[in-house]
Amino acid sequence: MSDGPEKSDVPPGRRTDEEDSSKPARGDEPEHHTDDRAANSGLDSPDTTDQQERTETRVPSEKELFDGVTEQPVSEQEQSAESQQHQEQKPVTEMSFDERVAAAGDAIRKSKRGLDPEQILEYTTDRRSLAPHVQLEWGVWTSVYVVVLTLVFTFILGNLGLDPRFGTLVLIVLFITGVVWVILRYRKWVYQVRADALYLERGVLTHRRSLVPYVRIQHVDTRRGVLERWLGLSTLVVYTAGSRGADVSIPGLEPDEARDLQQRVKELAIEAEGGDAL
Amino acid sequence: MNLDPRSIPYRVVENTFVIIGIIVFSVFFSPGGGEGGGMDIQSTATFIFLGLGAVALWQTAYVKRYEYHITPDTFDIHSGVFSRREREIPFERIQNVDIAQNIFQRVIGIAEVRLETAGGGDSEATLRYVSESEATRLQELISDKKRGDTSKRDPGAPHDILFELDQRELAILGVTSANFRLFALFVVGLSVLGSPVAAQQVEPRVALLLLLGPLVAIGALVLLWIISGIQAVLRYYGFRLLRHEEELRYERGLLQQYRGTIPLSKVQTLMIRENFIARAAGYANMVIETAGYAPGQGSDSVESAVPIAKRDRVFELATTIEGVGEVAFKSPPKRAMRRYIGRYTLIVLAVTAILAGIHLETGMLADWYLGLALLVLVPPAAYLKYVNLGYYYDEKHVVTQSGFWTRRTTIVPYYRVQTVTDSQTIFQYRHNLGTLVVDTASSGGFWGGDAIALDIHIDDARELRELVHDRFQESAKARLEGVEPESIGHQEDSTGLGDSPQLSD
Repeated sequence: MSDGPEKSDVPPGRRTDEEDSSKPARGDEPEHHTDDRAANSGLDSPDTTDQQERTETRVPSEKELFDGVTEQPVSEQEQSAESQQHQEQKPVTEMSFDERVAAAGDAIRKSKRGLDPEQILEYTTDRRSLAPHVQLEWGVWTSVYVVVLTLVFTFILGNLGLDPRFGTLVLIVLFITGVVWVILRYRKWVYQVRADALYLERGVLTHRRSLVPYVRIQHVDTRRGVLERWLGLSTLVVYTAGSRGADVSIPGLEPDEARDLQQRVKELAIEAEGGDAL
Repeated sequence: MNLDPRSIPYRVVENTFVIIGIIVFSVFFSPGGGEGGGMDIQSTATFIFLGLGAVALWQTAYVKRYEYHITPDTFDIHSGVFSRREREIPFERIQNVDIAQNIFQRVIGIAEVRLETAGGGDSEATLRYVSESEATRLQELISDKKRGDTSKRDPGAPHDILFELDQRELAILGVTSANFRLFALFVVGLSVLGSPVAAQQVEPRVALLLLLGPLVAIGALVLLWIISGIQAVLRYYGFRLLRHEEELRYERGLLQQYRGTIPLSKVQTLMIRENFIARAAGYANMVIETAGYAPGQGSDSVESAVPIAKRDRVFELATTIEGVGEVAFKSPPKRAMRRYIGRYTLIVLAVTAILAGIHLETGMLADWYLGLALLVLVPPAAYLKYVNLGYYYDEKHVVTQSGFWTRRTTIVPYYRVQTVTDSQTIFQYRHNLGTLVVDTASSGGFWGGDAIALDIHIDDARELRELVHDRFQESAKARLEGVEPESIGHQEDSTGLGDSPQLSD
């Protein structure tokens, strides 16, 4: 089974079950729903009416189930209802720890019969560019390199007995190159959340287009450096088990968007169950 | 269960050398010993004695405190003398089980058992040491547990011998296994360093010294060749590859014996390597890559599943293991060769420019323009580079090939794909070329893992990117539904093409 519980550090509640959506919502759930919606309201992902619809008919997410059986005796009722439905076992209270874990695993596996294609489509995006002010961030870094390089060049020029004022020329040339590079880099960057994979396009000197299947995603981070925080930017990092896994990161996202993207990718990754991702 | 008690004396001896080394070192370099030895013999002996005692005590405690248990789902290890560590390794996550025995361990009858998972870093667990029979028992037991179905176990299941290295092949292995990267380094290093510097110092004997550099280089080459040959022979002496149910097993080694398992379900990619000597003789070797070994663990990390065999035989074995059929490579467009001609020309020009620069600075290399003579080598080099490139895909695999000095053929089943990327550098842009990189989780070191189709038409690269991804999705789905699309280990569908209705596209 895929490592659902570890992944669900974001509020649960976007998951539904194709089959179970026909069942009436259980009575003890509405509190959860309001919580979920409150937690999710900050995200501008799939539009709210749909979200509401889905949260009302959803089955408990893995996090809930897992926590419910292993840690919180409070929701044992819910769990026993669930597990009896599925496997007619003895009540949770009489199970050994191992049995409860196994039951939770079964429940998770059974609850995962997939979002229907329409719901998956809601998680996808069109081709998107980065936030324009990521150019500022790159500009700052490029400037640092340009200054350092200029100093080095000027030093070498001085040593060769040439007029150090050539350094100004070097500075201008490097600076223009840097600006062009930053702008091109921004223009070349495209990402898209597809139904079955994350698509990335980037690179000026070497232009690369990658597909990262959700099944292969191990975990998803958002990361913000000092400069990024000042500029209100965030980076999404997606990890796979591949030898080039660290390659997959999307810089220059607005923090809200980064979180939204993280949520989407996470949900899709959980949805795309596929063994141990190796 | 505990480690074998015989490992205590072995471990003590193993560590004693270190201790004695430290003591001898400290005795010789201890202060106050200006005229000869620092301490008298008596105190040296006392030190050694105390050191030995401490080592013996520690090793005894370590071995006594090292316990391992087999639970239904996990392999548990409780270890540590003062700070205890308890580790549980789920059987299904174990990638490889290796048994290693050097000649001394064989005499005492103990063995080292290593368990690898995909967790990276070091081996997940190293049992040093258990008895020979226990090592074998653990290996069997873990492969049973991994399948999770002990009832189905058939102790008399046939050990299919897939491959056995005979004396002739061993000899060829010795001759062909040389590290040519080192060779090149030696040649360049010695001939460049040797000649101009030496020539400057002793003017009259210039001619002789100019010869000396290359001569030393050639000598070093031969020496390296012999050493790496002997190494390879010792390493792969008595190599056998067996198939035991859903597992590959190999044994090898003369002084240091290894017995390892590779579960077929954990195979990531296959890589067939032919260096130019072996290729000339029609031989190749094959590496089975799993996610079990961390990159950068040295040459030991990549286990040759077949150290050397006739090329046809190797491909036949690849078919047995991975079900890849007849591979008909497609070449990249001819214009790719123009790129290499351009690239190598630039390199030669750069080298010449550097030589000219040296001449300008020092006035030593009046003949710097001779560097341009290397231009003669450009067309054949470009041709050889081009001719060894190729890519191929069928219903189940992507196969790529590249390299002249060592030609690498990488076979990646779609269900092992991690990410797919096509890339285009500005140099490739001019020629409408691109590169396809199919990344896998195999940790075959710097060269391993990824299937790279270099300099194919950019449109092909993009199309292939989508195709590989689509087929990956299909195969992942099929595997999840329990329809095992892989023909892994099944001789009967070794064509690799026939039985894949779920992969219809």
